[in-house]
Amino acid sequence: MGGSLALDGVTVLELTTGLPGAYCGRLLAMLGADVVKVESPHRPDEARAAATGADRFLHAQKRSVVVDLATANGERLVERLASNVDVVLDDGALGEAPDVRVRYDALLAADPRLILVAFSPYGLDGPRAGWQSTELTELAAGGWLPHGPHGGPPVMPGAPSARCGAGTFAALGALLAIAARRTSGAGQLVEVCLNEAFVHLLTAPTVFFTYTGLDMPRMGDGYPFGIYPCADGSLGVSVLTQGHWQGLCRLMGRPDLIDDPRYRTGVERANPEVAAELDRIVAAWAAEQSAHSTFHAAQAMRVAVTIVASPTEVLSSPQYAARGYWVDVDDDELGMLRLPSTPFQLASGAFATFRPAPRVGADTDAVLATIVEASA
Amino acid sequence: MNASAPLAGQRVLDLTAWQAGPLSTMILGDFGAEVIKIEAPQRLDGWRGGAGLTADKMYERNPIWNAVNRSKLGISLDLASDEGRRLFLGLVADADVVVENFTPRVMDKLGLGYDVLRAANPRIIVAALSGFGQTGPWRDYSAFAFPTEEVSGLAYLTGARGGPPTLIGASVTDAMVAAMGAFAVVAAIERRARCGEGDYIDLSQIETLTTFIAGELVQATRTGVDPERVGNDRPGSCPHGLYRCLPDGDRIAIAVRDDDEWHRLCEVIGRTDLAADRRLASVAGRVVDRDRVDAAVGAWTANVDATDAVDRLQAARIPAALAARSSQLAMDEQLWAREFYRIIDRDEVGAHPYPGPVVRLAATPAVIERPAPLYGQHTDEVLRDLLGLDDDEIAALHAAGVTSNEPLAQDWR
Repeated sequence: MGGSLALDGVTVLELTTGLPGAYCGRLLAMLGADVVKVESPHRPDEARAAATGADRFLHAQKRSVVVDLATANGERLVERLASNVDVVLDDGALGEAPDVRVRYDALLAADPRLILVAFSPYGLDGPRAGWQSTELTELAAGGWLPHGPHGGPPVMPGAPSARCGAGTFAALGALLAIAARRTSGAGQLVEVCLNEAFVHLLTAPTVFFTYTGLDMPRMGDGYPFGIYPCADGSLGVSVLTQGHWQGLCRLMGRPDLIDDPRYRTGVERANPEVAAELDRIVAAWAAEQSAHSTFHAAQAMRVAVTIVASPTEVLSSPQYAARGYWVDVDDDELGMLRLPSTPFQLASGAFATFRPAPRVGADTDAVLATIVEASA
Repeated sequence: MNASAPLAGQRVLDLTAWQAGPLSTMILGDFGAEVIKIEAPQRLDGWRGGAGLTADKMYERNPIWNAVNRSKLGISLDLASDEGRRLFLGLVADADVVVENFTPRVMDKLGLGYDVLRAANPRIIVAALSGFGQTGPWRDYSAFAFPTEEVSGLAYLTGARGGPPTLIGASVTDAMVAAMGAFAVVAAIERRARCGEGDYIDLSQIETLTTFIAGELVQATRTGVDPERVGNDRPGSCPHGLYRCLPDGDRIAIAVRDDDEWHRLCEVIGRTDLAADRRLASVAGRVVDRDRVDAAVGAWTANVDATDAVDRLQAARIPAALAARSSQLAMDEQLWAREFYRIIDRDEVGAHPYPGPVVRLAATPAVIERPAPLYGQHTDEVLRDLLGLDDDEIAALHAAGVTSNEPLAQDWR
């Protein structure tokens, strides 16, 4: 196979309705795969239903067909579609764990080259296979919500970052299966268990516990890592290294702290009383600063003090703009939109040309005609 | 090496430190790549510890370092020395991928920019996982987990209703970047298998993370205003939150997605009177009366054991889960039943369970056996087998401090 894109000629059938599948599909589409999103009146797509506009990013570069999965015709059609593609993404359209395993085995037997990416909350087996989940319960089960900020109630991340992370693992799994198929000629089941993916995205707490016997404390509520109110917003302050500490002291105009034996190294500064004292010093300093000028002054000194950017600040940031991060889209319904282009850049530029997200069912006739042709 | 592994035959030179880079190359190693992690004798990976931690080989004992560096070989090599640089380029000539997560100035300063690496190996894939990208006015700014969370827009959106921006509370953005880095590398490997060309991956950590907030960006573009923080509320779900249970006030998450689930919840908590209450019949009504709904749910959970509460809710097909602490995660029944954790025995720390594969490939599964290397453990082997050096040449490199069997710095953070 020729072509300069990683996934030229690869076809993907996206049966998923959840965010991990949508993000996974979009990543594959960026690399040139022809991603056909199957939308069913009985299983509304989460991103479309949320009506935030996230679907304009998540479903861009895909095609959309409507198939009613609740009818026998619809089921047969999906099976025919599945036997004509390289990769199928499923998160419940074909059934629920653990029973769906039978369906998966049948599809893989019918087409030994098929790569089937199966998303499930807890995995296809084990005592919790088939348990229900939402993002909130996935975060809880994955260990993301054991404690809240400043001893208060736990709070979910405001962005669905963990589900996108799981979607990235899924896209990676699909690529690995494609790489394996190159030598073996055989497809396979790629299982994406959200619970396991979320635990993986944390990594540190479980090994911290098994090494020390202690629950890992929450980070980010104050010195050495915290967000402090400043004169015109918020400032993030992070001290990971001795260099960061010394730089912060200089930035705050407090070089005297550097030689104070009470604060000398991270070991001394980890003492809760000392950390609380430093927290007060940093908070008092931050309150007088303006966010953007302090960010740039800090970074010039290689100190990790940062803006806490809002979406409008991200959109107007000179850094993203200078790198050509944005795609401007004139959307029929929503007007002019600014969307992220790709999560990384390539010297080769080997990404598929941007195409706006399709309307629901926009490609139904075209896709079904191809399938009928292919199986004629 | 497992010949059928997806990345069998791929050699990866890993110059990364801390978490995002090392976790990305660990994933490549789990799936069959030969990953060679390179640390300078004078400057170790920061996770190995800071000042005062050289005693008793503390640099071998960091749980996170050991967790994210499995499935790799480890060598000691000073790239800032002429000899170290020359040896590294020798390795590049016969490698497939180089991964680094320095700030952009470092590789050029080492004389190891993309042009130099490509001259050594025209098919090389170079992945640079920097905080802000290789170009643009902020390119030299430094970043790690928390700064990227703050600059990318994630932290602004997290927090209680009416409260300040809040950090997630763990270095999770590193892992998300690691996932994307590994994805980008495997994509470049796939592309090279087709067209024969290498590539340069310029991954900006903030740009990866900002793709997660596309919906909020669209809304901000349309309205010109930033969205409010909403704590644990999500549209269309009520009740939706965390509730304290027995025995120790452990919390469970409960999410009710529709009216049917609301009726089933009322059954489980013994409050069919609420199910009959017309004001609570729709999500909109329950949101208005959220305090009453939460009080009813909380009154039930407060007298039930957390695991029992979750079991009873799941039996009624209502999404619910224990808000697990790290100790509970480490002993989790489902994770162990599926053999997610893998026990790896490593010198200096003994046997510990570590998180298993990030994704499960049925026919070509991840092989998770090789412990994180001891400092410089494979230096001599790599210099001899891959670069053809003899014992005298290797001894000379040790003597000159180009390589070392133990760290040469006392305080490398």
